[in-house]
Amino acid sequence: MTERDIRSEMKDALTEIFNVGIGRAACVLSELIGDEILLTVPQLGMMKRSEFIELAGQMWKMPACIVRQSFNGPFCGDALLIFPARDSLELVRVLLAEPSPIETMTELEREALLEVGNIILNACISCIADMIGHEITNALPVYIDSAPGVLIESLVLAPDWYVIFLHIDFTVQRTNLTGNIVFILDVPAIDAFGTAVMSLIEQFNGEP
Amino acid sequence: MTAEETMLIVDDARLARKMVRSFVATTRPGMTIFEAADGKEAIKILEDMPSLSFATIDYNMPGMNGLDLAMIIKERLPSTRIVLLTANVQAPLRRRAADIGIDFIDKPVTEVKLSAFFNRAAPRAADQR
Amino acid sequence: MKHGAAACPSPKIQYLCHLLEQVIDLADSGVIILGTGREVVSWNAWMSRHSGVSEEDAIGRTLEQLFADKLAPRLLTAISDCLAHKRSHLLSSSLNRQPLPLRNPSDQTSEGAVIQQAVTVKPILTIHGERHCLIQVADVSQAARRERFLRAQTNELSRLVDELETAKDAANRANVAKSEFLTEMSHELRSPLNAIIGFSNLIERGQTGPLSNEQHEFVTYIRKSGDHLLRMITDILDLSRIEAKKVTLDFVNIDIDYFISESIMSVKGLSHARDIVVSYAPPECTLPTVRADRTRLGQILLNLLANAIKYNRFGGGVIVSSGMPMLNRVRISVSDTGPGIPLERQHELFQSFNRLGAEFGEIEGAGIGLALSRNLANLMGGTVGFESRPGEGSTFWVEMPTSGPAPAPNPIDKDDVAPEIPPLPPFTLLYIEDNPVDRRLIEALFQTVPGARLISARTGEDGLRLARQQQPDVILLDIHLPGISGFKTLKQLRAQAETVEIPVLAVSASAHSTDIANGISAGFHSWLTKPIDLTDLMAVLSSILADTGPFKGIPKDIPEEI
Repeated sequence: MTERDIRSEMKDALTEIFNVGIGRAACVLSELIGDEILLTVPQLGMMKRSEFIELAGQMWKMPACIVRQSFNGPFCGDALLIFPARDSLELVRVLLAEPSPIETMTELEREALLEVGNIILNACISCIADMIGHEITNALPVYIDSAPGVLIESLVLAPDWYVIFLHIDFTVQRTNLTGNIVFILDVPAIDAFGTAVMSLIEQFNGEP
Repeated sequence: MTAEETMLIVDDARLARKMVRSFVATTRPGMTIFEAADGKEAIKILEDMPSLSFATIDYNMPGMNGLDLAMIIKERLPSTRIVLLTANVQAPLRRRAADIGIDFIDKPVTEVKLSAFFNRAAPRAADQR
Repeated sequence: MKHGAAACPSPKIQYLCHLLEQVIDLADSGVIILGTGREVVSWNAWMSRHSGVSEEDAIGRTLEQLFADKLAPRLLTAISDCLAHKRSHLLSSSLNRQPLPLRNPSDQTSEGAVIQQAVTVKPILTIHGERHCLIQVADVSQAARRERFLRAQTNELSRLVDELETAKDAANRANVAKSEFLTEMSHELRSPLNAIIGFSNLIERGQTGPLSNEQHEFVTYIRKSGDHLLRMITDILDLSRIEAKKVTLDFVNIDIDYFISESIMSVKGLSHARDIVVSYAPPECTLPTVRADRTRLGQILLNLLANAIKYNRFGGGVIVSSGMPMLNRVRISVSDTGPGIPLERQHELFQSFNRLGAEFGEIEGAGIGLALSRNLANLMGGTVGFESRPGEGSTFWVEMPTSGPAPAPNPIDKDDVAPEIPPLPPFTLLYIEDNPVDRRLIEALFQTVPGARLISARTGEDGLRLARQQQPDVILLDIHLPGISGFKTLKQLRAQAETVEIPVLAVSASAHSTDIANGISAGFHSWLTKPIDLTDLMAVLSSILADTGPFKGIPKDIPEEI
């Protein structure tokens, strides 16, 4: 396989893994709120830190809400669920089915958003773990209210790290919302992750 | 289990198609397998086929969703045993699938889940012959 | 917590374990530790208190055994995932109703008894490396109650805001309707006033024959009352126009000194009648000119003067003065020796139709003069204000911005002197008007003008025919005609070669600036507002006849003859 083929295979595999992951999350959420939820991953990208910072600068010109959860296993890193501040408020209110005139997120609503993040990120992490056959653990999520520039700064972990970047579309009760999932991995982690995913692909490549 | 058995795997992810193909090769060796990346491609393949034994269809695909494709196949080839693959098995979707008489596999696909489908499907497929 | 203490070997570790047990028991939240087989290995006092299950009963049993189906399935999934994969989970109170069946024993109300919980599920490891599961339960009932209350209050608040906005909209609509009504009414009132003022004026001047003294006095009353009524109607119209933001201003430079003297002259009749001396205290230095609309500023000053006279004691005095209270501002003050305005009513002074108790007195007025004056002054960048000492008198003032650094003497200032109308050359005037009273008024007027010949028509059609046949020098055309309108009639007059050159004057009860502008752009020579001011009409006629004269055909013929 050429470098490009590998990249394309990787991307295909990751999209499938994350689709299954957030599909599971949608399942959990829909059971919780007793309503159908559609969650899809229309786009996935892998990029270097510098590319990500450029993209993030373009994407998040408005304040954002971040749920951040670190994970640990054959590779370590941080998983983030990012919403524009307005969308996160709408998401929580749709999920809680409780329209509220209060303009900022209340303490309990924030707690609910944390749980949503926990469910989605856990599902993604557990799916990766299942597929590559390794255990990946994770800590509790934390909530970050972020101004656009601060977000990038808060993410600077090491000079070299890689980012797996996903758009996710939520559809709940005819409300469509878009968020992003970001997996941040340092160089050893991305190598380990890449190796794990490639061996998964190889495992099924034997057949014609 | 005979050589005439045919199967269509519809999934937009190459990895998912390979996984199904690999598990089928071990549980049902000798199956003739066709692959399609979406509903449109699947329908095109079916145009030239007089019959189809099995179909595994991903629910969440670009363009036509898996359930709609399943209904089209059911109409054209009523004897085909169909299983819908998705990680998002919410109650309403489960009901809709049951209504048109198709099975379910929770992603990711494993050998066990797939062989359970074949075991359920085989006797019924035999009845209809 | 007896379970854990038994495992502590050394005295130091035993000492620490003893303390930690107390810390866990004293915690303000529930703490549960589950062993590898999901059995309870630790159960703190908070849990005992709120679940009704004692530590002794809990230890060694699974949560399913303790609470059966009262547990949220999501909690069980989280525990399984935690023990199997060391993953942490969070269950929020909003998305999970009662993960554990807990009640508050100290709260006896049915609602308060249920504990709203935020639950975390985390993996922990034993000293031997076995996986255990730590469950922490926080009571967020207070926060939930607070947020419910906040939500209810915010809902109520936004409902009230909606209500207020609806009420405000209704008030605004009512105000617009009022303005429209006033405009409409004053418009309608102008037509009959045309007849009252016009005819009484003719009679008063003796143009219909000699009058006895008594007749003269009575007819003067009629004419004055008509004038007064017209002023009030004009004021009402102005006020509603300002409110509808439809007033147009013509800014010029005005010499205040001359302006004041002129205004004092015009209230002489009124001041004489009440035996009030109006005196002018000239400024200490020459004042710069002010930038204002002449008519509007005159209206304001006349209003202040009239009030100072009307609300004065019989035989009192009025002093008018002017000065510069600050740079670039000129103030005209009018002080009276009236009763003054009681302090508690001073805030009502500038409200429309508020006459401060004078409603039932003999002093005439609509109670809008001050409101109008203030609105007009504001429109021109000025202000109107007052000071009043009950029992001593009041001083009202109007302040206007000055024209600028180089106050040039304004030639317009002297234009206000009524120009002497030169005798008119013989001419024919066609008056097209459906209202017989208005026709009769003009007929009566023209009987007294030597050399004038008046022909009249009742409709546009008749007027067009007469214009062709008689070739009048001037046409006076009413705008609101039955059949073809004034505008259409003008268009047809302009379309015919025989009548294309005849100047046409519009007569309308509308004094609206857009109507006037439309009229002028349609091709009317000028626009006269009903009631027709006879002096104005004669002045216009004079200027037209001087330009074209009755010999208007000649200039056209000359080139052909030469």
